[in-house]
Amino acid sequence: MFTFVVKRLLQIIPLLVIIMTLTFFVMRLAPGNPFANEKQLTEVVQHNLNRRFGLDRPMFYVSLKESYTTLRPDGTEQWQTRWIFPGWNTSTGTFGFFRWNGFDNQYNNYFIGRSVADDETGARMWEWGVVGGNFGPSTRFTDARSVAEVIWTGLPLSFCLGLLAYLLALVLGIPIGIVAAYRQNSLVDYASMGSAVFGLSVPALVLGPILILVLSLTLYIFPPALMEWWDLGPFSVPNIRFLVLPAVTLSAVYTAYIARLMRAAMLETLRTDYVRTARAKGLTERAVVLRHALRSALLPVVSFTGPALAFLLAGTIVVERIFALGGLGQFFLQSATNRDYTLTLGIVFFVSVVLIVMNLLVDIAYAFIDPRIKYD
Amino acid sequence: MARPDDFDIANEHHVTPEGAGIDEVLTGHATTEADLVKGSSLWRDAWRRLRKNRVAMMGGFITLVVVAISLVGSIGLLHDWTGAHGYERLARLSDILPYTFDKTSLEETNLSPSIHHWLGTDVLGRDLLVRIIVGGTISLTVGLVATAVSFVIGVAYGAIAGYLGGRTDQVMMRIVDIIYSLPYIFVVIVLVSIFERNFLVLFAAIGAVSWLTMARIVRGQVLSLRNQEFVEAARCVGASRFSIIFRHIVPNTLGPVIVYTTLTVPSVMLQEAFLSFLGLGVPPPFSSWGTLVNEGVGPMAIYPWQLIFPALMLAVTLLSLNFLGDGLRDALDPQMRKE
Repeated sequence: MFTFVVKRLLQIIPLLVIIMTLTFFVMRLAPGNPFANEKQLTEVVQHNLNRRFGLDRPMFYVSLKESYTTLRPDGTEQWQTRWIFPGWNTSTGTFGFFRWNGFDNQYNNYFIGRSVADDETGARMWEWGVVGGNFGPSTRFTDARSVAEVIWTGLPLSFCLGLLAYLLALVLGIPIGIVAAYRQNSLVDYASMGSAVFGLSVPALVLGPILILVLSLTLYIFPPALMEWWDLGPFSVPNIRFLVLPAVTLSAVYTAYIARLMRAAMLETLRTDYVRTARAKGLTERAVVLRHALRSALLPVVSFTGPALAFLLAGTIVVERIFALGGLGQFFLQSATNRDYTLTLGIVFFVSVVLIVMNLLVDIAYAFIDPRIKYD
Repeated sequence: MARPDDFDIANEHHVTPEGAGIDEVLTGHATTEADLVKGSSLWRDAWRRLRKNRVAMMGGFITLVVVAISLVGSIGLLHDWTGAHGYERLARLSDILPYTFDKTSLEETNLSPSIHHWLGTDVLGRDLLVRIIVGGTISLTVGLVATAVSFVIGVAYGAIAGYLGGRTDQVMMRIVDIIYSLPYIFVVIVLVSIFERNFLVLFAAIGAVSWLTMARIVRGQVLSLRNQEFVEAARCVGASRFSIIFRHIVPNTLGPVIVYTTLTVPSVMLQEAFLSFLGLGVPPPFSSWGTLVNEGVGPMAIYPWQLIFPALMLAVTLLSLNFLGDGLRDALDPQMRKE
């Protein structure tokens, strides 16, 4: 078990490298850059920004010569050029005469780090990149927030919404599934499975507006789009009343999915020998179903929790949009359409880590629920 | 094969989605005649079971109606037929219906449903009925094309991985695992938002992320088929790997694959609606149901029809597609057949 966890944790590293590199190159190869259509910037500023982030140079180019700096005796730098010696040189991103700017100027700077000169003293200092948990400044937010700050702003809301929706789905979906399986082919079964298809087919972008239309604009039960926080701070908690509609909208799909999974697994488990044995022992129906059958029937539901998180993330973007909530999803959408490279990469990184860790937790939970599963 | 109903479904079987006729496939088998009989009886059983499932038949019927409306409507509305030679009758049709999906009219903004505009108009005075019909065509097309993309990639990938086995299989399936753990919706959003908004990117982006489950299903099937006698026979005859995989093995996996494909169509349409809703879907003058819902959400308190009608169409279509897919699964599920 321990080795399994360690192995999986080590696998996260190459996985993240692949994800981040792919996202980086896809974004960088696309036309446009974060400063391209910023109207209020003067040309000089734009030029300097592009130069600072290495966006004025092509990603890949062929060169026979490379430039380098030497220090003059008085401490100033002198630029010189020299012929490239054909061969593999990782530190400058050279292979033969083929060079890629993406690696020397942007990729390495962004992912590993770069040395920056202190404004006052001029001393060179090393600044870590993504490797050191530094995602740099957001290139779009005019108040010059760092990526970490932007994520921190949006995270509490998305987290609360996701958690609430998830709990709602479990609390509703599992009992519905159990009852439907226990009373197979009864009216309850047909009704609940029919509404499960409903839940799966009616997307959040239809359900959300209709809930708003009926429950808040007509019946005035819940507020449509307003966030009230009990205590505005990093650990502030949103007023739950304002999250009810978004959470219900978000959870519909999982509730339906979990109910279906639960029913299918329960049907299968209720026909197994050990359930018959439990009944033969004279246990009450409640004990048979809830203590003996439920445990192994839960497995598919547990394995769904990994992909469910992906659904949840996708759903959150839409739900945040419908209810005008400023969560992580909204920031991501803005950053992707605005070419905010650093913010997009930061959020992709964050989400990937969450997703991968959740999948790992699901695998570990497997072993606890089903003692037959052993990892080596 | 005597009764007309049975004949229909047998024909349906003959025209398999990926273009390889089943006759061609079956002649590739070692035991042609026996398989033909067995194959058609499977489909006959499935059809009988499907016909008994009223909800699924209802779903299929509604789907057909939606498809028909979208097709007929789009022929008349999407194109300007007035100048086209030999289409004078159609040109007259578009004269009778004076609205096109992108014709704006400032005098007719936000009209409620009436005799002139059956479903009302939107904020730019465009007829909502026409936009919904055109949107339906686009949504359905995206659903079908992206499903086809995922079908082709998934079947080929899964079949190759399953048949070759060993290290190749491990590496290929590892790659699938890796892509599984990507936050796919984020990748799609990055892809769609950085490239110019057009249909091709949309198809490719959605199709490229939805082939994974298909690959897994096909691989599982192929693993159980690859050691059977007919494959060995084909190998003895000297068939190439390619023809063994795609002419002998893949046709035998079609049952679960078709079921999964029918369930992929609604989920792909849902993703398209998601993207369109977020403003990343189809490019502007066109409409899809997702875009229409997005446009309708803003003024829903004042002009509710702009939200309700497209939302209803989207929900009804997805619902009937899902019911149809579920019905097909029940009908084709081999476990059900045993009982």
